[in-house]
Amino acid sequence: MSKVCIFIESDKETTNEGHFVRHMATLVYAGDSKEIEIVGTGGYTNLDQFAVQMQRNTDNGIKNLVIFDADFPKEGGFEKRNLKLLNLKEKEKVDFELFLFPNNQDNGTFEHLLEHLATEEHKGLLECFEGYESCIRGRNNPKYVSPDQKAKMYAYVSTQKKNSKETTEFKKGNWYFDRAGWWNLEVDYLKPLQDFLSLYLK
Amino acid sequence: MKSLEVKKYKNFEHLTLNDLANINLIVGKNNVGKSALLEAVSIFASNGDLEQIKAVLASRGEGVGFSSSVEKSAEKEMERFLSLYHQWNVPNFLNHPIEISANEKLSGSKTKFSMRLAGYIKSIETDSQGFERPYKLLEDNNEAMFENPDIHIGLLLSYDERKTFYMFNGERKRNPAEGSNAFEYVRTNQIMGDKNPKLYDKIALTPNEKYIIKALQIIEPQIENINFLKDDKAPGQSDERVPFVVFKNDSKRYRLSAMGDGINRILTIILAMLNCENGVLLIDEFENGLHYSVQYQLWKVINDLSTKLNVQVFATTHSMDTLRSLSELINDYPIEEMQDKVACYYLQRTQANEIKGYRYSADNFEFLINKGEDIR
Repeated sequence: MSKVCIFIESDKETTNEGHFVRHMATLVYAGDSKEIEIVGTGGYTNLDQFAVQMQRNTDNGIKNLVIFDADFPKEGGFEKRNLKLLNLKEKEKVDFELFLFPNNQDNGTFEHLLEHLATEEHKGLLECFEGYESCIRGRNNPKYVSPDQKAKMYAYVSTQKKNSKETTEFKKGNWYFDRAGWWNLEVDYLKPLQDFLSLYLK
Repeated sequence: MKSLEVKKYKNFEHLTLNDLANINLIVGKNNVGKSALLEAVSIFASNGDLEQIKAVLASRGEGVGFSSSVEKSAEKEMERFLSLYHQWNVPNFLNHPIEISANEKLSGSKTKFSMRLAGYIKSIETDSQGFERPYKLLEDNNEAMFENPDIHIGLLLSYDERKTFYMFNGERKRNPAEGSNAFEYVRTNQIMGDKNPKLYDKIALTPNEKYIIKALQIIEPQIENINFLKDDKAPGQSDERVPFVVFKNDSKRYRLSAMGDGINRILTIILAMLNCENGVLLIDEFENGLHYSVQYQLWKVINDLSTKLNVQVFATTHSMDTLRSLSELINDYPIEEMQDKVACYYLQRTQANEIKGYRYSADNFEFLINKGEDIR
């Protein structure tokens, strides 16, 4: 199995997104997990800045994977973002495989995928957040962001009781994706990502 | 140079660097040929001068000398030149030359230097210009020549139309390279004590002299003047001259060598640069002896002089500080102004076991360094 380099949308590898992608990749990767490199690009518009690294990887037998958000039609959406990034592939003469959160089909983001991974035990927390968001909407103030999917999933993890070491880790971006009580990685909605990673990493 | 192509030289089977800038930073892991690239550029810039090729060999401990036996000396010499050849292969070196070529920045015209082994027999020949030569070059080169006692092996150098033939048996036939480009090569850890006085003499009392002081002030702002004076501490009647400086509001002279490696390295770099107007400056391991805080200021001086004197700079580094300080320099100017001025080339051994050069443009380089990416 050759090495892989996964480009993500976060600014660095140590974000919750980076932790998640590494965890999912490690679950299916047949080689040494040290051979999985995660590169934070800082946003989909920056991907062209990594063209040289991609060329270097390809010449070195390293597979490039790009896992970004599909976002929503106002600024992207699955079809539009997919096309834009694939066009970049031709323009920059680079080789990579692309997956768009949440499931390489729907519009949405990494956090939309996470919502599907909430366990039965804790799903109620997301409903609590609905109440908060409904309150925000009631304020009718254009300065407020609503819905706020990032805040919703942050609240989901933040609310879970942690010891001090876990709290420190959580603040660094570790959302404990290996914790079955918090995350259900068996859901069908996650299958497209698992299949994608299996295809190139197994 | 707008682009550079190196074939069969040391690490390089075939390396191409396109869109060269005024300042070209060369990075990459050990043993990918960063220093070899500087050597190749120095050979090209010298118009393929045999003396420069020998200097390259000498700098690597492969100096070309003669032993008492002429036969042995010929063999040894060939071996040393062979160390410049990709994969050290004699049969290939007979027929597939080392080639270093470049496209000129303005005209776009291509100039090529090549070097290969060639067989010859001793005989008086008259060339097309009527000059007598004590050898006749063989048309076909093959390995069997080594078995034939009448056939000798030499080195054939070509630079554009000019050809130079060098015999390995102690007899020399050499046409000095005419009109070679100005170039200076500052090697790793090198403080060119023997060469600096000569370089200084060429700059002293010219308008460019002020740049020497300006560069030294990067480390010691109180320096007011410099001169190379006879070394009174050297044993015997040495004529060696060493740099002395004076400080503002101080009448004493101080030896620059007492002020640390950094300032002496800066002196070496700046003297080298001031002496290669319209030419090439090569700096191996830019960061050596230099604290990170002075590297940005040195880049600034180098950038100014590179434009003013039309000097193209090639520098290698392993240091993140060097990358950061160069990125800081790019950040000082509108990016469109820096696109032609700075480029970074990453040399990498590919899966196909070839060394390839990857170009980071100024804006790409600055983005990645600011983001904290390690592109060494």
